[in-house]
Amino acid sequence: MAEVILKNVKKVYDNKNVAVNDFNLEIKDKEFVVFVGPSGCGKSTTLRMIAGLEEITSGTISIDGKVVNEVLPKDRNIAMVFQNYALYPHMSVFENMAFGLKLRKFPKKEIESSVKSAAEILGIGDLLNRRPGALSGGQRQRVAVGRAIVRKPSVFLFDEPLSNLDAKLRTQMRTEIKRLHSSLNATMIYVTHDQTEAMTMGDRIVVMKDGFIQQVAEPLELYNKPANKFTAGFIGMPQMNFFYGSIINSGGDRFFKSDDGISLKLGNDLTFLSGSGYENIIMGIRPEEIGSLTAKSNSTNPVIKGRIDVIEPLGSEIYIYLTCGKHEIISRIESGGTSYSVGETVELPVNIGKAHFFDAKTENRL
Amino acid sequence: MRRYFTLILFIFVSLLISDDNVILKVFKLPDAKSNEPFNRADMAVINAFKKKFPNIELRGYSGIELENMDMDARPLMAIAGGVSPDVIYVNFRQSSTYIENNFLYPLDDYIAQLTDEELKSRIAKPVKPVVKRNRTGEKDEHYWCLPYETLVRVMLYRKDLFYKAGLDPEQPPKDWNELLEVAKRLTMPDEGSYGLYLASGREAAYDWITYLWSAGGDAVVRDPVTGEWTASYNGKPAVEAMKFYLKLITTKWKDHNGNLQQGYVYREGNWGYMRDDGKLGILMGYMDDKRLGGDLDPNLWGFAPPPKGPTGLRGSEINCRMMGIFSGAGISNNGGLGDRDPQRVRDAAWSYIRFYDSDEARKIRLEIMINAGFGRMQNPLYLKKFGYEEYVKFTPPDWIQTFEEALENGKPEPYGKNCQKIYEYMTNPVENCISLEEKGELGADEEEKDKNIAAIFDNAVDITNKNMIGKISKEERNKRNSTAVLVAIFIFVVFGFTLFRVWKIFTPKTGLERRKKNPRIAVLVATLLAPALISILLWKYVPMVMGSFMAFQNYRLIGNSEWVGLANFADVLFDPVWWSALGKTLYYMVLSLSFGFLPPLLLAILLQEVPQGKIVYRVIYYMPAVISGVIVIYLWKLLYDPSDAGGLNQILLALGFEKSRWIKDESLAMILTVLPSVWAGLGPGSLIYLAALKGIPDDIYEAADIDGAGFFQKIRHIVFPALKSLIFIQFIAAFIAATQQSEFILIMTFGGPNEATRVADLLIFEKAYLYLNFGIATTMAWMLGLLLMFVTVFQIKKLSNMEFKSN
Repeated sequence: MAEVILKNVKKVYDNKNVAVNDFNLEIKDKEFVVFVGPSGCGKSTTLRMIAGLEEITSGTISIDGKVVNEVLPKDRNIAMVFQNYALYPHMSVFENMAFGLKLRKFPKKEIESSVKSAAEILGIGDLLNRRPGALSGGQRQRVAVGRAIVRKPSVFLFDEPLSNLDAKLRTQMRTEIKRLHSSLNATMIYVTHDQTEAMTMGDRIVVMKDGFIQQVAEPLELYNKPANKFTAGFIGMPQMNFFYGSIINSGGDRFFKSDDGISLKLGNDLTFLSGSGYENIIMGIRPEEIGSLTAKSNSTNPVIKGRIDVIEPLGSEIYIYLTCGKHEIISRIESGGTSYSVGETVELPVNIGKAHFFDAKTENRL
Repeated sequence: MRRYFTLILFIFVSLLISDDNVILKVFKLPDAKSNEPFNRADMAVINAFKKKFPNIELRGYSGIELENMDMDARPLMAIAGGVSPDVIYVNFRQSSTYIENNFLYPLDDYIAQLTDEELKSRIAKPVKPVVKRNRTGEKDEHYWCLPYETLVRVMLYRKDLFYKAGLDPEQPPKDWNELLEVAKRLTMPDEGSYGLYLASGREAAYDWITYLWSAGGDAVVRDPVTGEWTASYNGKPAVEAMKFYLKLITTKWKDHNGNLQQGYVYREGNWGYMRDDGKLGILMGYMDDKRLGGDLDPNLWGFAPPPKGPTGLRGSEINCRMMGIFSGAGISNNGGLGDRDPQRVRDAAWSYIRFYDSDEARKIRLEIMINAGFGRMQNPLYLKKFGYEEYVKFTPPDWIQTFEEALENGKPEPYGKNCQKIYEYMTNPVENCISLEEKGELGADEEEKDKNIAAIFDNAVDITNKNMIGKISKEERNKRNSTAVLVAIFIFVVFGFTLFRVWKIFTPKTGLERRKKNPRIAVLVATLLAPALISILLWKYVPMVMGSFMAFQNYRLIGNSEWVGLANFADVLFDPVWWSALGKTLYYMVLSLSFGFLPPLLLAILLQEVPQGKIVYRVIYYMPAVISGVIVIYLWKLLYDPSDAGGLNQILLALGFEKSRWIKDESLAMILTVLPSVWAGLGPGSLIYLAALKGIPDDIYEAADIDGAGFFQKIRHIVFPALKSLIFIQFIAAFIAATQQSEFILIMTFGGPNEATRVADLLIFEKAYLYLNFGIATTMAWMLGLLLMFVTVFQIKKLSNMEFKSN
């Protein structure tokens, strides 16, 4: 059982630079939580505070019901995997993995068996006698993970562990870590700046920016109901299209009118936008809701008109970059449908029912 | 026509003149700029000489000089360097070496030109056997050199201190008993004044010999039949002299404050300051025939012959400054002077030697001194002789009496075979006895002490006879020779093997792919390599190989070196001094490594951990490295000063501890010699480690934190492995430094106290340049080199296998 609870955690560097601000989070036992955000958002700092590598300026962190603010890293029953692997260069793979156990005076046999089984799980059983210098990046990262799991900690901390790997390896390791999580039954906290990793791995995702939590939610909720413009923009590939504008009632219909004149008729299901007070809002539409089959399937969907600048065929799908008024918008459509060409002016239907609306001032979801 | 004639005449005359001029290089010329009266007097003599001999062009010697080196070594180094002056300085203790080495041109023909009176005035009676004698193995006696100044060593005492102690300043101690009594009375710890000054360390025997003579002994004696020299400073006289010495130095007593004091003698520290400060009651000093008491104030300083010993003898040392003609004058020392006719150079040299202390010169000196206001301090005999009788009544009567008496009853400084080393040999037992007595190990009662002292001196005399004089029995010689053969064979086999190993190490194992022979590239490669190769060959290997031959020779600078086979090896192998020096070298290396190698690493780790002010600390620790090594030594020497004024002693005293003798303490000397270079090397050493420490990424430490490693475990498992290669390289550097730092010892202690820091390469340096024993020195160097070679091979092997990677 290892819950990690952060209460009003704050980190201030040099008495002036606030890195983490009033961080409150309860991580349940065996949960896989991902901290995601752009660099400098405080996600790594938070993780390092949990690990005990950084002091906490104020607030409390408790692991397994015990406040650990003053507890040394080694006594927190955690293990951490670093971005640069942080393997001991002068030790063999075996020694690297065994080091923590050795220092804890585990019997030799036990060390050997747990290192071997961890190595088996990670598929590095044949590398045990090599030095880290003789391993590839992926192998090194496996060793780093192996070093963490031999200790059987109650909480695993991952600090951007895959960012030094190439794309293919990253995908592979991603699933492996996920698999580990289910087989080890441990709490895992994972820091990344890569939203794909966050979406694919996390039971819950903590989106951070400038030291503040933006949203804590399960991946799909995060995608479907981003709490604010930042989260909406940060999660999703390609990025959500944003339009500044207002809701206008005209002839009983409601329209969203952007400040550069794009006008989209809203469906009747968007009831919450009725009434006044929506003069200054942001509308966000994900690229797959523009011109895609689902958008086309509903004939009541409004269309957006624009000139095609760039077409990026990705195989199963196509990205289309359009200029509409002052806006550069992206549409993601399925391959094999209508074929478009650059320079062409097209009208693409917008699945307006899936549009997100944010207050322009607070940028919070409406 | 007339113009041509004038021209021809001019050329002829100028040829004549230039042909007539001869350049004469003398060992020393007075300083033309100095205003010091005696120097001016000398200058006047030189000017008179130039006037009298306009054809002789005088040049002063300037050449190799080493700071802090024995004065005796300078002329030897000049001869070794081929730049010797024509007129060389000769003293008693070195005279035998000069004569045996053929450095001196016999003066017989020149001496014959002197009148009896002149000869008598130049050579005092006791000095005659020094200047006129035969060379070993030759029958005829020759004059080898001529004194120009006669000195006697007498007792100087402070009249004011006598007054203060309630003693009559006109009644200086006449015998040993009185001396002890007076020394007791004069020692006033409150005032910081001492009864007596006696030299310590390497010079200890300079003072002790006086007591030996007074007790009826002598340093060396010569067999009147065979002419062979034998060391003789043992037996009853030595024991008596030593026991009296111990009484003066080690007697324990309580002063009126109840503090425990030891002895009545000031031995360590800067006695010059103490003397000028009026803190030393009695000390020994030289009087010379011209100035007698010199510039010492007769109201303040009394002069008396040394106190009589139990035998009734007075051990006044007689010494002379002498000049001789270098045998190679005009032959082997013409560098920069052009071709010179040896005969004319010698004639000129003789003119100089003769004139320098002639009546004419003495008169000139006297006049200058009188005009400078030193009239009453001049030798009254000269005053009378040269018509300045009016000054005689002002001269302190005790001066000339003391001088005459000392000259009458004195003994010449030892001048036998290799006697420049006699003081060193005699110093050992003297310092040994003092050291044992201070530790309370000399003996329980008087009888035992007598026995032990006698044994110590017997042993020292034995060593002196063997090593200094070279007296070895035939059996012993044979035994040594056969051992030497075995050892020499061993050395050369090992040496050859080592070379082979080094060769192998540097030969690539797989054999590099040979490039197709392109003559143009070959020429280019050869051309590029040539300067380095040739200079290394020429300046390193040729001298090394040529020098190696010296190991098999009794090498003489002036040719005629005789081949002695393995005799040098035999001598070195059986020389306990060599083995003890070698032991000290190892001791020095151990100390130097243990103190010089680890601390920089520890300091680097500490500096890394300092949370604030990193730069300040780094600068502080690096600063000493900016100071030049020799200056560092001198700075530390000030700290180590064993007197109350010494830096460290002031701290000890201020803290209420007893003062220490520091560098003069045998047990501390070596480690204290090591410390300054360790101190100076700490900063640079740690900076290198610091740079490497910076290369260890933080997350590795963090990973270790999480793994549960503490500070020391992190050092053991992370820091140490990361620095391993660097540590090895630093170890090699420290090792090389440890073998090459003897110059620091040279400056710091010159091998003292009591030989405690006489390391092997210092000994080699001395053998070569102080005693011109190049054969022995080379042999020793071979043996030392052999020791270092093992280590070097190991290093080369390690280094050639080492890989340098960033990751």
